[in-house]
Amino acid sequence: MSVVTTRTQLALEEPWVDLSNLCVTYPGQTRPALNSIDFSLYEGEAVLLIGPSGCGKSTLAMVVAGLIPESVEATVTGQVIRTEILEQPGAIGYVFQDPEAQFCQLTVGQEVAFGLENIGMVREDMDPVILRALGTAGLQVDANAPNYALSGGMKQKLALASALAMQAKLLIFDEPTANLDPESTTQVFGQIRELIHAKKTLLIIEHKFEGLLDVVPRVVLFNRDGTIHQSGPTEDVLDKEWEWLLAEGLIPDGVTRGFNRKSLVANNSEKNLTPGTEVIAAEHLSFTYVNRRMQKRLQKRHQPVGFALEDVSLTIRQGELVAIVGPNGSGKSTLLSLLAGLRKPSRGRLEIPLPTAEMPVPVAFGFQNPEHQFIFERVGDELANRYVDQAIPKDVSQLLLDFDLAGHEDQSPFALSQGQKRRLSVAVMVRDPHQAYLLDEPTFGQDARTERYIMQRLAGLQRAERAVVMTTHDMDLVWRYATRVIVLVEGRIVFDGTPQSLFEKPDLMAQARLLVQSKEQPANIPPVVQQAGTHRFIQVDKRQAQSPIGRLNPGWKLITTILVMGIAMFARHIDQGIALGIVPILLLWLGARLTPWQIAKRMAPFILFFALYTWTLTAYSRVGPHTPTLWILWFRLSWVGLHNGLVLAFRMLASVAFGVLYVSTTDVTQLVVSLTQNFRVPPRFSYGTLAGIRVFPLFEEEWGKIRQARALRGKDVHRSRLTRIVTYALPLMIKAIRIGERVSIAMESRGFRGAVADNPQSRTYYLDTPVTGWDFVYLIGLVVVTVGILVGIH
Amino acid sequence: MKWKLRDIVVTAVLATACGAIYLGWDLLYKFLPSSINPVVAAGFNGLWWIAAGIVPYIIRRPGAAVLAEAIGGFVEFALGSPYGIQAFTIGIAQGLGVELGFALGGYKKYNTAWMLLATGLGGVGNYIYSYFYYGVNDYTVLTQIGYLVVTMLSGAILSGLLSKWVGDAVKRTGALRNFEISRQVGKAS
Repeated sequence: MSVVTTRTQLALEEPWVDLSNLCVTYPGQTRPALNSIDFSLYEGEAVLLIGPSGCGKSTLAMVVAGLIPESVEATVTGQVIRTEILEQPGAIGYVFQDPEAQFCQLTVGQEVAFGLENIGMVREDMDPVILRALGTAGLQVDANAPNYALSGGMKQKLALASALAMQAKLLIFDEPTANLDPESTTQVFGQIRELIHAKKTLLIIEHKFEGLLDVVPRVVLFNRDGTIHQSGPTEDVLDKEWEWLLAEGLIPDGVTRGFNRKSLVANNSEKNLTPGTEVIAAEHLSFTYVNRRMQKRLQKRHQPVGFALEDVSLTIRQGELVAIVGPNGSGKSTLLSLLAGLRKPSRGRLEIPLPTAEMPVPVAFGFQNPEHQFIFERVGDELANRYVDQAIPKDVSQLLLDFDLAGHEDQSPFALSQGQKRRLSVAVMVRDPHQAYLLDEPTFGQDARTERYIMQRLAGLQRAERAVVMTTHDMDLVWRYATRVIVLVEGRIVFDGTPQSLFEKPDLMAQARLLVQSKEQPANIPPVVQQAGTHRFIQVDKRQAQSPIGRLNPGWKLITTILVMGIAMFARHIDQGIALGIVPILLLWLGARLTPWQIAKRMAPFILFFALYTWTLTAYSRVGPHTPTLWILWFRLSWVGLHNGLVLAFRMLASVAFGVLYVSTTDVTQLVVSLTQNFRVPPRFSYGTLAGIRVFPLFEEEWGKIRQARALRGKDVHRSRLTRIVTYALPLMIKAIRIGERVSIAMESRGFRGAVADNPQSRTYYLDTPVTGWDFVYLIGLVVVTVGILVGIH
Repeated sequence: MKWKLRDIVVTAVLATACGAIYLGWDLLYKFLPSSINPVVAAGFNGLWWIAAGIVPYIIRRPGAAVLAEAIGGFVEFALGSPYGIQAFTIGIAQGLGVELGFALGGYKKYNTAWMLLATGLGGVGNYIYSYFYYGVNDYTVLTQIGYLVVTMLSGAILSGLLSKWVGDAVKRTGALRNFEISRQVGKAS
């Protein structure tokens, strides 16, 4: 049994956190994730945890934060002592690895406010606290900006701001830059450095720790088996353990003490380079994501069309390993997908090898997320590219051995570890010969061992006179393996040459933001807020939000809408239907301040639908014995039916219009807050639902990628349509579940647990959704009008 | 049997995705020639409460079917369903039907037969709602019976079987380790 004690009196020099002989085992696992750990953390200290993937660093952080075993189930033995200061909600701020999966609100201000609500801060005090926290975290965006549109680095700053606002005493950074590009990493490191200078107490887990070593006073090294290898002052430990760090792959091969990469680059240049024949050729390639209709519209308004790629010319030859590098959004992935033929260029000429009988897929493509590549439910089938059942063919057994996957042939590809998934996806690519291999960030999220493994494979292909092209953020891979490097900035090639010559141009590398800098550079590019697809149900236009109907209480407005729709059900005449349809249309115009043109646009999609309804009833209505009917084919048309159909159509028009009225004027966050504030829905349900709904835009992105992957691999596989449903549903569902789990842990880490999550009155609310007399005027008024129409018109 | 936060968030994420599927289904249904015969068209109904199948199958908490359908229906409505707010209200009716099925099993039975039964009962909820609101009351009695039977079968297959199939596939990947579906192994059947 574990003993979790709270120390009430803090004597001088007593640690804030004291762990002794700690063991943590996750359910269903036999091997403990953490084993016999002794660790103390003192006030004002900053500690860096380093170790290979799966060594239990995050587990330790979650134990310190109290998330294990409360939010994440695990068996904990040993002693955990935490000082009383850290027991208050919000005292421990946690910045998680995945910037996409730690938010539960829609705007920046609301996100920071969520934690403040949980500690019961009065609404009036929140705004200044939020602004101050955003300032301290270095996030210069409007508090009303949608948080899902921020860049990865800005998202991590927002997570930090949320923690700072709650007056966190201890800040935990759990691989905050793992999903970020060098530029965003620089931003986050800049914040961490400032916090260390301000003498904050920090626990940092970081793979790319190089940029922090000069400021973090103490490091702890972990062994693969979940024990502590070494702990002490940074300089001493580095001196003593440099070889160990290299051996464990925590420092890239060939980097010498002091993180010097000269020899790394020098070794690479010894490669024999005789470029072979041309495989892919591109001339003056341009690409835009803006569709043709939108392009025309922009041209009419004399606005520029944004190009993801502009005037790119390059040739890829056999025997090359080309690395495409550049900051996020510079067009790397777009270029790669064009070269693979996954997209058609908007302008320019592109020559890619055509499929032949011997080589049906001349260009192989590897997605950033290996899961996108999988279309079978068994590793064995995946490798064979067909259902093989128990009889694993010889070539597949060989692949299993080659890629260190033996024994996993019956498992689901999705059940593999990160590294195994990546190895499998590469194995699938190299199973059949191709002329060119294109890979989108093949080492993303991989530990050093897998990274080394994959890169050696790719180097092998290059030596075998194949063409390999990959995008990456990791310049160490470029120095070590690439024969050629292309630097993209804002869709244009700014460098195309050998790694050696790029290495000699530090100015260019800084300008293209290829390296993690110790200091944040003055932004010559304004902070990018990505134009993510915005949805009507996520954002309401300001004009509508401030209209009379927009200011009503969302909960009561929903009740009114449903009530009126129920009343409209009793319409039995066409006149009644028409009158009922006019009411919401008038309200859209006068009450919600939509222009007639907007109303027409929003209602238009429904018209065809109503026509179909009318037809169905015309042809299938129950009719009396003496009703005249008309038989056409097997349809029995009747006037009674047509009348019924029209009534139904108008009735539906009315309820649809009321629906449009509701959606156009109601913010989903306000609805959620109203459900809890006014209708006593436990916050756990309302806020949990909001957190789930906000994940939606991610789905669209994911869906698009899976479709591409299927288009690519589907060509050579014949399966039933039903099987395809599972191959689509699996990656999406797994992603959904993973994000859902992470988001809920993040919410709990911000004090959303216990009574705060159960009882609407145990927390405060940033948004106010008051119920006023107008809500009842609206309800009663609409009921009177609709009932009046039913009674008055015959 | 208490709802954990992660149960709720995952319910919302899955139900939201289902809401988007419903919208796609709305539009697809609109252009199907089969919508000229209500009994044939009823065969498509079942997919509209797949959230009430997949979510309870994974989460296994009281109210999961209704909550999932309410969220899915609301998202469908908010994304611009041609059915307007009825997408939300009929979703609750369908969810209540399925909920009844799982309640009858004491929220302990999630085997194939029970999944078929519960999601088939979703068809009853769909029928009752449509009887009052989508003009099903105007059909001939024979058409109505055909509509009900086909709707229930459609629910059992498109919502029930499909959910179980997909749910089991996801479970095999180990992604559901922290959910009730992985706790009730053996107890389920």
